[in-house]
Order: sequence, then structure tokens, then C-alpha cells
Amino acid sequence: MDIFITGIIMGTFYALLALGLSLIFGILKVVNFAHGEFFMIGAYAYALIALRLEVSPFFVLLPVIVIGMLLGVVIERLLMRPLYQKYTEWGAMRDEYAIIVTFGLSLFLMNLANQIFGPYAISGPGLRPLRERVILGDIVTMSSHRIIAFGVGALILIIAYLLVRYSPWGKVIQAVSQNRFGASIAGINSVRVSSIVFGISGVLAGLSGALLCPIFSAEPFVGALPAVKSFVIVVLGGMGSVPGSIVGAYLLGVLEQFGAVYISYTYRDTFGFLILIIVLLLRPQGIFGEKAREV
Amino acid sequence: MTRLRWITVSMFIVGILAMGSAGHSAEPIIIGSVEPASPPGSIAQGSEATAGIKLAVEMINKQGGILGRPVEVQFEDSMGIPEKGRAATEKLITKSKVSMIVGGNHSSVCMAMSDVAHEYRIPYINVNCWADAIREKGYGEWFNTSVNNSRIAVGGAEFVKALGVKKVVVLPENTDFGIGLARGFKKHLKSIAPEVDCTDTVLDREAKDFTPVILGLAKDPPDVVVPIMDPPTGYIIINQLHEYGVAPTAKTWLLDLDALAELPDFWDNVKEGGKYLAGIALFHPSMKLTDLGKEVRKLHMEKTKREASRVVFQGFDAVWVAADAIKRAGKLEADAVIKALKETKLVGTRGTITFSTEPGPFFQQWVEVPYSIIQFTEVKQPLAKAPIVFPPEQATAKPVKP
Repeated sequence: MDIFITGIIMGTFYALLALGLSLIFGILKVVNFAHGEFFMIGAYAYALIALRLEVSPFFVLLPVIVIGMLLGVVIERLLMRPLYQKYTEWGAMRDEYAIIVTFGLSLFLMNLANQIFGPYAISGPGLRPLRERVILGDIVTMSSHRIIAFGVGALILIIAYLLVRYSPWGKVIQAVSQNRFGASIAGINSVRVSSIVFGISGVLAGLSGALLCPIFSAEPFVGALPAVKSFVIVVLGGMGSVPGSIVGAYLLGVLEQFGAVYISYTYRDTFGFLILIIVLLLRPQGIFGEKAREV
Repeated sequence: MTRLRWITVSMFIVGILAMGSAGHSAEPIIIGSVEPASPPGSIAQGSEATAGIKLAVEMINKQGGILGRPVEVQFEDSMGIPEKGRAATEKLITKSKVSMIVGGNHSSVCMAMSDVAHEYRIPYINVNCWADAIREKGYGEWFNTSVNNSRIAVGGAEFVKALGVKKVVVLPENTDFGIGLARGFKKHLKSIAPEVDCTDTVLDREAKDFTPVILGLAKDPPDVVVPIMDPPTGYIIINQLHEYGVAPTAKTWLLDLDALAELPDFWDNVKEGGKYLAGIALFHPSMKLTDLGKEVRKLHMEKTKREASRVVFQGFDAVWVAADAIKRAGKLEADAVIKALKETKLVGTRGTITFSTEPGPFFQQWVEVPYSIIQFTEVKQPLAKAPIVFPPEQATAKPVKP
């Protein structure tokens, strides 16, 4: 049971990260290779603000949200918008430019962090002290931090999902995601939607980094592995599918834990790719993805 | 007469300037260095080694250089990846035409680099690669001022025996260093304390979440957990062992064999998880340093405002030994330098460095690298205040549990 619960908790953090990536792909049809660096900046922001200003870690989540939002919006404005704003039809955008830009941005942000913060890792304080544990009989023994971080993460995930699914802004995002050109004709400002989606993506990834910072430590390259996992999740769930990324994240989180315990810990990070291969063989569009249609 | 005097004075000045410029333009001796400066390499350890190397070069140049020539170091990034380290070494030898190379972090990288040094017959002084397998190759070009796994394995196993425990779990990283040290530790422990049940689980150096392994340990806690992992992964596992209440506890000791306790970012990362951690320390401020070592410690403190770690001393010693060998050889020719290196007897920062000629894990190794086992008894305790708990002749306190 504790293996399952641990998998669900890890799945929540994966989902936070993957959801942002999926939203960006849905709107811009771009794979953001710098997504792991949003995670890294969230982790640094959390650790440095909490330690330097000595404020409660709960309050630090607010500036992390602001920093994540600003980061996403600024990157979209400066680096992504020039790639598509001159194209009247979305299909005319050159995807490979976006790949090169986000890949370069990833390297730039990692090396910038290395220059600013130095090569040494830093761990932020837990939302509760790490030594404080929740023990429920034989079912689960876990730190209060992990349980609370899971609660915060799950809450944000639910809010983000409900906003995207049911709010007026969410419907606008869905419309642009389905047909950017059509949405533009209907009067939707697709440029602003792209900006908002990048902002939301920055917030979700930054919060994921902040919540995991006491366990993983912030360092310039901490986002690399979580980013790879979120790429796997997005493909697994179906490119651009919001429910797909959430289900994919939980599936990966749980299967990784069971695989590591009952098969081999050594191959833990390969289970995700194994699942991905099986799903893509049986359902190439991913669990919740739609088959590509040519008109 | 006046004109003659002017001519004489002018010629004198021109002569002085020419001599001065000749001195400054003497072709520098280029030494290569390969250290990790990007992930997945340990950038922290690479930076510490680089700081020590730069200090040594600065000191040598202040003293007039080597053979009247200034020394320069050309750095390359191994990224902690064997093939990158191999390519960097090859580049230093073939393009930069370096006379010798110092450096090395991550044993798997040194394994690859040693083949290149051997192939091109270029002397290489290893700064921080511990794996015995590198020494066991028996390459005449490869010298080690770094400690080796065998020495740490023996020290760790003897400490565990002294604790009088029954069950030990080793958690090595999946590298030549980690697996090699775990193997050596288990082998030595079996020979001196066959009654101890010692098992290991190899962990991925790039992983972040070790919960599946730790949950298993939490269900059936051993008497000692021995992580052997470079930072930052080493810190992550210490935190997660603490988070799940596995170690250190009243039941379970935590023994780090990667000398993490000396690194400047240790307390920034482990916090409460480091209290009661016992760990190998290759440098402890109460350890006896040579006059040179004291000078290096002072200079490093002035430059960085923090205590030097053992990696700084290791980086310094490697360049110091290299310079001494070139001076004694009187030329840069590889055979002459290698011969001089074999005959090294030089006061370094932590003792007199000589190289063993015994084949096996101690081949061309500085055998007497000083070490101790310390234990933190407070959170954020400075290394200087952490008691030494092993070996008995150095111990300032007995190991304690929470």
C-alpha cells in the first residue's frame, strides 16, 4: 500500500510538470525543451527566498507562482512570439525553429544558473520539518512535508484542470488548441492565449520544483530528469491532452514504484520508456490522444 | 663625450628592456586539466579541484615558474562522462600539445582517460578518482595523489567492525568508483568480521527519488547504512534516509564513504539529516598539515572566505608534484618526466608524497593519504568541531547515536 501511495504522490508532481508542457504543445504545437529549467528556477526561488528571507515556506509558494508566471510570459513574448506572429496560418510556422530556440534556452538557463548560483546544490526547508513523520499503522510512514506537498500539488492540479476545462478562459484555451486559425476568425486573441498558457506552464513547473526542492535539492541541472519524464508522460497521455497528461503522470508514478520494488530498482527510470513503447505500439496517438486528421 | 654617454645609457636601457621582455615572453609550459564542469558530472568537486590547481599554478609562477618558464593550465570539461573525458584528454594532447595532465573526477572518466594517456605516453596525475581498477591497469604514465578505494574500504570496514554490528546495507552509485568501493568494503569486512551480514543495492547516480529502496530498509532496518554516492545525489539519499526515519537513528548508523562531510555545500543540503552522520574525511581542520598545506589553506580562505576541502588540497598536490617532476627531469620529454615522477619524494600539503611501485590497487599510488572518520553531533556543525571517532589513535570522541 505504501508503494502505491508513494507512486500517487510522485505522480502528482509529475502531473504538475507535464500539464504545463501539454498545454504549451496544445496551443503552440511546440515541445518546450526548456520546461525542466522552469522547474529548476522554481526550486531555486523557493530555496533562496525561504533561506535568505527566513519566511515561512508556505508564503514562499506565492513568490514562486509570480516568478513562474513572469518567466513564462517573458519567454513567450521575447522568444516564441517572433516565431509565429507574422504567420496568418498556424501551419506555416516552422516548428524546427521553436525546437532550436527552446533547446538553446534550456542550455542558456542552466549555464546562467551555474554562473549566478554556483555549482553547489542547495536544499530548501520542508513545508514541515523532514523528520516529522505521519505514521498510519502498517499502511504508510511518510514525512509530513511529502504529505502536505502532495496536498498542495493535488489542489493546484485540480484548480488548473477545472480552470482549463470549465472557465471562460479555459474554453478560449481549448478553442485555440483545437484550431488556432478558426479561433482567431472568431475574435479570440490567440497571441494573448499563448502568453497566458506559457505563464500557467511556468507556474505549474515552478511549483513542482519548489515542492520537491527539500527532497531533490536545487542545482543548475536538477530539471533535466523531471523534464524527460514529463516528455514521456505527454506522449503517453496523448500530445496536448490535459486529462491524458494527468492520467499518464499517475500511471508512470505508480508503475515506476512497483517496478522498482518488484522487478529491479536499477531499471526504474527505464520503466517509463517501456510503458511508452507498449502504449505507442498499441495506440500510437497515446492514451487520450486523437488520431491525426488530414483535410 | 655627451653623445657617447647617451648612446651607452640608451643601449643599457634597450638591453634591460630586451632582457625583461625575453623573460616575459618565455614560452609557457602548458599543463592540461580535465575536470567536470557540467552535468551529470560533480561540478562541485570539479570546482574545488580547479581552485586547488589554480592556487598551485599561482604559487609556482610567483616563485619563477618551472625551468624559467611560466606555467599555464588549459582546462577541459569532462561532464563526468567517460567518452567526453576521453575526447577532452585527446584534444589536450594532440591539439594543445600539453606536456602533462592533472585532474580527474569520477572513476569511470579516469578509466577512459588513462587509456588515452597510456596510448600517447603522456604523464597524468590523478586528482580525485578512487577506483582501484584504474591503478590495476599498471599504466606507467598514470600517478595517483588521490586516495584509492582500497584505503577507504579498509578504513570503513574496520570502523564498522569496531561498531560491533550484525547487518550492513551498502548503497553505492552505479559507477566504477561506487561499485568498486562497495566491493572492496564488503570483501574487507568479510575478511575481518565474517559474522556481519553485508548486502548492497546499486543506485543510479542520476536518479532523484530513492523511495522504493528506502521503504524496504524502513521495514527491516539494518544496523548500518553506507551510502557511496557523489553529490548532489549523495545529499539526496541522506535526506531521504532521514525523511523516512531509516538512518541515522537509535537503531541504525549512517556511514558516508564519499567524504561528503568536507564539501562546502554539505550543510546547505542535508540539514537535520546530517546530524549523527559518520563519514570519511580526507581533511579535517585538526589534521596535521605541512607548512605548505597551512599556506594553501590560508590562501584559499583569503580568496573564498571558506575552509578548503580535501579536493582543493588534492588539486594543489597534483600540480605541485608535476612541477617538481619537470624541474628534476630538466626537460618536458615524457620519459624523463615519468622517470622523475616515479622517484618523487616531495612534501605536499598533507604529508610527504611518494609513489608505490607495488602492482595492483596501489600501483603508482601515494599510499599514506591521511584520513579519519568524523561524526557530526549538531546540525550545521563546522567540520573543525566535529569529533574524530576513528581510527582510535586519532579519535577525540566515541561514536554516538541519537
